[in-house]
Amino acid sequence: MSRLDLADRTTALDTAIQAAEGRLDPALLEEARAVVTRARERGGLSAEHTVVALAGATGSGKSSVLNAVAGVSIAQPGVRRPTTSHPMAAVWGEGADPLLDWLEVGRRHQEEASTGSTGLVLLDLPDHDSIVTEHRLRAERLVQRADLLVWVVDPQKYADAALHEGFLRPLAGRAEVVVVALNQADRLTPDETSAMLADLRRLVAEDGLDGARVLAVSARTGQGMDDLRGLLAKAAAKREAATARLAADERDVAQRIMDECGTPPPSRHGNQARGDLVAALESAAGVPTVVDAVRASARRDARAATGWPLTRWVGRLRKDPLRRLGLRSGDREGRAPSGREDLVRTSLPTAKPAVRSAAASAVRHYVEEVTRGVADPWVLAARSRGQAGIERLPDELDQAVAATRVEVSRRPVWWSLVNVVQWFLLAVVAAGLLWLFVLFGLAYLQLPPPPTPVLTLPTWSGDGVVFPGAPEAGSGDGLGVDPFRIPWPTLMVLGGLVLGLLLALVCRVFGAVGARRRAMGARRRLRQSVGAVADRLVRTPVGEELAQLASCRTAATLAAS
Amino acid sequence: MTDKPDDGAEPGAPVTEAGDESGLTGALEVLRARLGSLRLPLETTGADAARTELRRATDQLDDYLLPRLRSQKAPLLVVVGGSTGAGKSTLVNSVLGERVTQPGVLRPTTKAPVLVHHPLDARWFSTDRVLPGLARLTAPGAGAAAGGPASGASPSEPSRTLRLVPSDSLPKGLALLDAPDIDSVDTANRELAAQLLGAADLWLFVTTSARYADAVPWDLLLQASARKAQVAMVLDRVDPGAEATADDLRDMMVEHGLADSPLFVIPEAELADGMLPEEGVAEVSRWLTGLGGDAQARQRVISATRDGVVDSLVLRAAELADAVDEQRAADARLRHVVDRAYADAVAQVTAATSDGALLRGEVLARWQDFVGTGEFFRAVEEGIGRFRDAVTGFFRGKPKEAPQVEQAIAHGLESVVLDAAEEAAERSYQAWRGDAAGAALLEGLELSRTPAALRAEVGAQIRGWQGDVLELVREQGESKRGKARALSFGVNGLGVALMIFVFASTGGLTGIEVGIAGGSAVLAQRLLEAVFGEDAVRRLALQARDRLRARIQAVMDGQAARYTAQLDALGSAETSGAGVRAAADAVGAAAAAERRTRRAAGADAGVDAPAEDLTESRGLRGVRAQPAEDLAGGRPDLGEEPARKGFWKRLFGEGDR
Repeated sequence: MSRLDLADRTTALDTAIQAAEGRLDPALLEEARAVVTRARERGGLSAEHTVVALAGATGSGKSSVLNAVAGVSIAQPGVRRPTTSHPMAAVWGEGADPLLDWLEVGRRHQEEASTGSTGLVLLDLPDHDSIVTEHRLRAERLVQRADLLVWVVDPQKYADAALHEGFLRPLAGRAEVVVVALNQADRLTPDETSAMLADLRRLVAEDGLDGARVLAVSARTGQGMDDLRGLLAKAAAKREAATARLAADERDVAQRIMDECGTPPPSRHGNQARGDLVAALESAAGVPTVVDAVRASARRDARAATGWPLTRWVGRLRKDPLRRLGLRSGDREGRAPSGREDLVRTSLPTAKPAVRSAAASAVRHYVEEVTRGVADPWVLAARSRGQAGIERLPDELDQAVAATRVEVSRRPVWWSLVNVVQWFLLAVVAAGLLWLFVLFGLAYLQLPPPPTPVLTLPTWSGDGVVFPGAPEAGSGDGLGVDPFRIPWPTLMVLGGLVLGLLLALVCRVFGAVGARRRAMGARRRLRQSVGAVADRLVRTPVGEELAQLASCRTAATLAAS
Repeated sequence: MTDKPDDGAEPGAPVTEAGDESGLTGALEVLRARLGSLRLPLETTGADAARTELRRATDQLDDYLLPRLRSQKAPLLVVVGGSTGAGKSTLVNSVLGERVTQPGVLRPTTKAPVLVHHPLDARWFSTDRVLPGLARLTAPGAGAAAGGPASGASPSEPSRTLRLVPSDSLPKGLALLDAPDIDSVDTANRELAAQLLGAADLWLFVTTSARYADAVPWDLLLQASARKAQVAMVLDRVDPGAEATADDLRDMMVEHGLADSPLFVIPEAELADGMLPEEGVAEVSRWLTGLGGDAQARQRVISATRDGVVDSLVLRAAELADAVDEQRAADARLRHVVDRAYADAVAQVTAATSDGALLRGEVLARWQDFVGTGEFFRAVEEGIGRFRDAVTGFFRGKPKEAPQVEQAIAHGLESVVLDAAEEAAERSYQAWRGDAAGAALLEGLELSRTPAALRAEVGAQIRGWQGDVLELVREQGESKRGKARALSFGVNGLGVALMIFVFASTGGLTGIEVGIAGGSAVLAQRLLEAVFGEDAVRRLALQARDRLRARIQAVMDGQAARYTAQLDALGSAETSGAGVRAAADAVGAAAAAERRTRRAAGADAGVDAPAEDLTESRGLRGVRAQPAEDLAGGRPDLGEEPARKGFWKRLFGEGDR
């Protein structure tokens, strides 16, 4: 594993921690942050040195092993327990001082750099199991920071719970940084030694450190010491232990963050859930009412423009439903500066508690849908983000409806044309009536009637043959109304009436169709507005939360790879 | 255990008055029963520790205290305990001079505990008088003398058995129990070791020069010293040149309140036939023999340990009672937050339905449509006149049917109730999640969500309420139907009017929404009053409101039960520490009385009791051997150091042995 890899891994882990901030268990994040800090600090220090810690129980012979490895008596082994109270370092090669400062090891012993072991820093740790608590804390601290851990155990204590449960199990999965040395092998017969080594291997494997190196040594007789020395020299020469340890730590903690993240949310739920949310918010915001009002209003307008002029006033009596809602553009412009329609409130008859409740339920449902399968902490985070907007939803929805243009500003051309035609027809009727009235007046005054033009309809009973005895056209000798001749004034009155009413009826149908189209347009625009509000107040915050989750997951996966 | 074996071999044993004994025994039995029925189901802080403590306390009562009180003359049980690899088994074998247990290099070695007793004492151990939780196994170990009656108990699991080995090397009245390691990786082993040490009259604690400063054994020793258990220490496997450790250990013992305990030092030596050299164990052997031979000394050890255990048990019972009360408090706390959340939900719904706010929008529009006056009133406001009414009637047809208003009411009400229930569920979840005891009861997010069936349930309840309202109106209107019909509303119309009135009238129409709701509500009120009269309307409204609240309450109760059912299942509300506390007090009082009697009896019995007849015992190994030369100087045996006047010295007299 190269240096760059570790730096990348650290960055990825850091990203994951930042994304998970405030969502995951603070204790886990704290631990992860400590790992990152450690990795950064260690990364800034000498890469030429490999810190090997000799850890173990009280009396197992850590100091003796240190002496045996060094070949000289550096540490003073004692019979009184606990013996080593402060850690001590034996250093092969120069320049390890900053590293040792970081490790807070004060007692240092410079060794001659032999070819094999240059860069080796060997630490003699205090006991991890003594009754002196500070020793335990000091030991734990160094166990965290060392690059390679050599656990020195002895035949009496190799199965202690304090060692296995307290120290080895937390290192599970990092077998490459652990070496277990069974000291005092000289006290055992070879058979016993191999049996005990097998047992120790089994215990270490049970601790999750399958593959950790286990070897028998004796500080007193030097048995197995060459193996240990060789192992340490190799580690020092490869200069990889530090990276390996830190990478292993990061992998472990990243894996746990990954487990906390759970599975990624299924993205296909998203659109369906958004559709449901918008629909629910629409009905909560009273969009159906507005749409109905738009439709009724459009029909009313159409009727006012194209209806039969004599009955148009009836429609005017009923108030414009859109105006009643305060959504008529004329009203709005009167009430707010132009371009700032958002300052206006509608007078939509929505009940606030019901809107709020319906919106809140819709938001809950949405969050539940999009977080299906996501780990609990993230669901809770997403939920709180989504619900933060609930209080603002009723007002925002109202404003969204108010600011949406629901009318077509341009009146359809055919309305004007029909209007002209209607008035024309009315004028024809009036002219006909006037004519008839003049004729009536003349007849009343016994004045000779002026010649009245008649419309002679072609007959279809014969082949264009005029009935015998039928008067000549225009003779008008008072023989009664010829069914085939209609006087023009009468025709004007009756025709104008019939055509006007017929036209009004036809236009009513067209008006209804147009109103439906307008209503659909309004619905579409309203849906966009409500959708924008839903996106702004609910979908975006929840989406951010899920994006955080995704980035945390991705980063953790990278760091754990 | 009812049978009291006669014990002719102990003529001079102090006899205590039966009344006090049984008083103490009775009190302890009550305490045992109450502790046995104690449950600690909630994960409160310290509940885990309390559970362990409870198990330990009941174990100790069953394994040690009750058997000891029921049969005073049972042999003294010496439990040999210590760290893994300290050489407990080797020590036992060496002292007995025969291989009763199998020492080994692989840890943990002793898995099934071995109890060594004098053949004549078998009757004390073969039944489940002591350690009833362990199956008896009488098959002799490797190299052990065969003998002892088969008790017939077959082992179900290897680590929960007790192997009985009779040995005539032991003095009568003394039994040695080789316990498993106290600190091995095998958790079951550790538990068993703690249980066995709890059952001991006397601890023979074995440690080595390599591990005498280990934290784990000292935790146990501190507990022992706290409850005044009698302890003897053995420092085993002392390498030549490491004798200073003995002084160090002595200092530590003084520091930790074990100054009175004797300390034996055994040097590391080559094992001959798996046993330590005779001179190494001589001291331990002599001490054990002395203990076995002196009935009175034995009795004092037994009494001292027993008194310590009783005292500590009283204290621990009080702590357990506190833990139980804590559980009860946690239960109440959890229930309280749920109750409050759902009570708030009911209040929220009540508020939303009472200030007329719900009457805006759909409901109002439908109501206006229904009454047929909506357009009319508006027209009046605009000053157009009554004429429009007729025209509107002509164009719009008849007033809308009542069900639309009902639907509008149901719809609004349903949203409000659902939202309130959802919010209460979330609030309860948050509160429980923040509480350690509650968090353990939550599995996933299931509880924080309302079940899908809730919407249907709420809908059913609201329809039920509307049915109630119609029923009320029907009952009230029986006699006045004609009048109602005259107003062309019928039962449905009046029911709707009543609903409207209910939603608007609570709080005397003083809310902000009065202006909006007022018009319609006043109309509804006038309508109802015209039909039923003022008083009846008020009563009807009250009844309708109560029924609505009852139905909403029922819904919320059902939701709250999802939470409280978790607690009900655990039964944490019924537990109470009072019983245990009372029983513990009774034990304390009985123990004090018993001790007073015993002191009086002890004074009567005199100081010197005749030494035990040792002829039945072959004698322990090394009893007659001289102590090893090199250790004689460094051995800090209490009995030979005039500066220390400890319990043991008083027990055995000056330089007697």
